[in-house]
Amino acid sequence: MWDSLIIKPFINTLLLIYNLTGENFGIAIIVFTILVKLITHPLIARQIKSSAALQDLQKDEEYLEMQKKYKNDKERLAQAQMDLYKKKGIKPFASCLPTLLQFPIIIGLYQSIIQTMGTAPLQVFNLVSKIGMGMANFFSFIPGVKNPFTLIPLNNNFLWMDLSQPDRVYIPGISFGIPVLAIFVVITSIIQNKLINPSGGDPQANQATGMMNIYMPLLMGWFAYSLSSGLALYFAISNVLSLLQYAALGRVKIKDLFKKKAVPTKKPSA
Amino acid sequence: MKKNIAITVLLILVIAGALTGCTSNVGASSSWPGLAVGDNLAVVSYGYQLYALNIQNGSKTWVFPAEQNSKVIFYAPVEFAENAVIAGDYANHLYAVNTSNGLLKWQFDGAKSRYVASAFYKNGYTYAPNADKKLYVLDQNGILQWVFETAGANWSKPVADDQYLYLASMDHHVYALNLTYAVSDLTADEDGTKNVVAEPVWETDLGTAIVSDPLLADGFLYVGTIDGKMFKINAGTGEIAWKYEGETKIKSIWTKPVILDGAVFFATEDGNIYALDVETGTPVWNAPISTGSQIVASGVIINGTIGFGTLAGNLVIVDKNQTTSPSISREGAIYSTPIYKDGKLYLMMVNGEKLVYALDENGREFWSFSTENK
Repeated sequence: MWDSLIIKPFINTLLLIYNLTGENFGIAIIVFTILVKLITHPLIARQIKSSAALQDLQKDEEYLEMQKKYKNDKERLAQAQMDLYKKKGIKPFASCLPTLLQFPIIIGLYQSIIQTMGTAPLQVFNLVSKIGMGMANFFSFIPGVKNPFTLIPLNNNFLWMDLSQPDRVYIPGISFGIPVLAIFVVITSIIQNKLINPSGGDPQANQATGMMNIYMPLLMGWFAYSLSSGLALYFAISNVLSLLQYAALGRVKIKDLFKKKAVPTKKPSA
Repeated sequence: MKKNIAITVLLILVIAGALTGCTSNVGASSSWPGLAVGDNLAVVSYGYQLYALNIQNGSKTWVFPAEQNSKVIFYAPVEFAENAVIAGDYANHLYAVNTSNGLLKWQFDGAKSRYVASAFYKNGYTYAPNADKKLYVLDQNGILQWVFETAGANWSKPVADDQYLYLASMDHHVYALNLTYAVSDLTADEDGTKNVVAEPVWETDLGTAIVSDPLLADGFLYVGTIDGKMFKINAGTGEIAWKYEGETKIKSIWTKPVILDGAVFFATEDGNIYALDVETGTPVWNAPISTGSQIVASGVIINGTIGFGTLAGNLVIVDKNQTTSPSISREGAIYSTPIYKDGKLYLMMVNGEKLVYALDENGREFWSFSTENK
C-alpha cells in the first residue's frame, strides 16, 4: 500500500526527472524537492496562516487577561481559550493537520531518494522491482526519454560529492574531511528555526521552542553528516526552500535572527 | 513545563525514528550471503566473517578473520583456488585465506570500492571485479598484474575459456580480454604505472546493466540483463547470436542461466521461470512457470531437473517438459544460489531458523548450520 501509493510514484518521477535533466542525480533531487514543495505549498500556506494567528493571539489583551484570571483553574482556562478561538475564527488544529499530511510525503520522499541511490545489490534489486512497466512504456512516449532500466546504475556524482556516500571535502594539510553540506544544513536549520519559530510571550512555549531550535539543527546536522550526501543535499535544499516559502508569505523577520530568547523568570508565589 | 519539554523530546525522537528507522544508510552494506562449496569445505560469506564448514557434518572448521571486525563485511561467495579461498569484502579488501587453517595468505588493498561479485581463479591468476569500475588481476602472491577499466561497477563474476576472459559489467557491456598481458601491451595508470589494458579483444553493448553472472558453454556466452533480455553471444567474436525479450516486457534478470537438455533456463525478478531453445532462443514452453515469489538466486541442476530458490523459501524444481516436482522448503528466503555437489544440496536461507542446510534430493537433512553454532 505504502509502496504503491507513495514510493513507486516518487521513484518513477525521480527517474523521469533524472532522465530529463541530463542524468545527474543531484539535479534530479533538487528539481524533485522543488516540485514537492510546490505541490505541498497550499498545505504549508494554511499551516503558516494558522500558526501566525495563534502567535498573534498570544499578544491579544483578552488572551493575556484570561491567562491571569484562570491561572489556577486549568479547566476554565481551556474553556475560555476555546471560546476565544471560536470568537476570533481560529482553528487551533488547522496548523497541525497540514503538518500531519506533509509527514508521509516527507518520509516518502526521503525513502525514495535512498532507494533510488542504491549502490548495493539488495538496494538495486528493490529499486528495479519498483520500476513499473507502465512507467517504462510511458517513458517511451516522451521524445528523448530513455527506458528507465537503461538509467541504472544512476550517476551519483554531483559537484564534489558521490551522493551515495557521506559528504567530506579533503583539503591538503588537513587530515580529516570537512562535512561541508552537514555544516550548511546545521546553519540553515538554525536560521530556519529562528525565523520561523520566533519567541512569543508564553515562557513555557519559549522554552520548548528554544529546545527545538537547538536540538533539531543538531539532529539534522548529524543525519547530514552520517548519511549519504544525496540526503544531505535534500535537507539543504529543503531548508532553503522552506525559508523562501516563509519569506514569500511574509513570515520571515530578519530581526528575529538576532533576537535573544526571553528567559523565563519565576515569579515569587503570592 | 515538564509536559512541553516531554512533547518536544518526543517530537524529536519521532522525527529521528521516522528518518532512520524506516530507511537505511545507502553507504551501509546491503546484500545477501554467499555460499561456495569445495572438495572438503563449504564456505559461507555472511556479515563480519567467513565461515568454513566441514561438508561431512557442517561443523565449523575455521572463521576468518578470527575476531569479528565491524568494518569488514562479506557477501560475495568465495572462489576456491589452490589451497586457498579468495574473498572480497565490502571494505575494498581482497583476501586469500588458507583453506586448511583459515589464516591469511595475502591481502590486496588496491581497490577503491566493494567486492560485490566473486573473483575468478585460473592458472594461478585471480581476476577480481570491483564496484570501482575496475577488474583487478593478481598473481598467486596477490601482486597486481594488470587492470581493466569499465564505465560502470562490476557485479558479475567473470568466466573464461582457454583463450579469453569474459567480463559482464553494469556499464551495459560484455568484454573479452586476454588471460594475460605483457607489460609492453599495457598503458600507464594515473600514477604512471604501466598496468592498464588499453583495449579489450571485443566488447558488445547489451543496452542495459548486467548484474547476473554470464554462462559460458560451447563457445557461447549466455547473459541476462537488468531489463529482462537474454542474449547468446559468440565468445570468439562478440557477435549476438540471438536475443530474447519476450512478447511483453519481462522483468529484470538476476540469475545466471543454466543449460540442460538443449534449453537455457533462467528466472526473472517477478518469479517467472523461462526455458529457451539453445540454438534459436525461442521459448520451449507456451508460457513461463510462475512461482509466485521473487527470484534472485540462479538455478541449480539436480539429477536432470533444475531448482530455483525463491524469496518465499521454496526450491521450485522443474524440467524441460515443464513438469514440476514437489518443492523443497525451509523457513526464510533463498537469495543465494543453491549448490548441488556429490549428492548434497546446499541451501542458504536468509531470515530463517538456520543459515545453511545440507539436504538430499528429497529435502531430508544431513546437517544445518547457523552462525550461532559452536
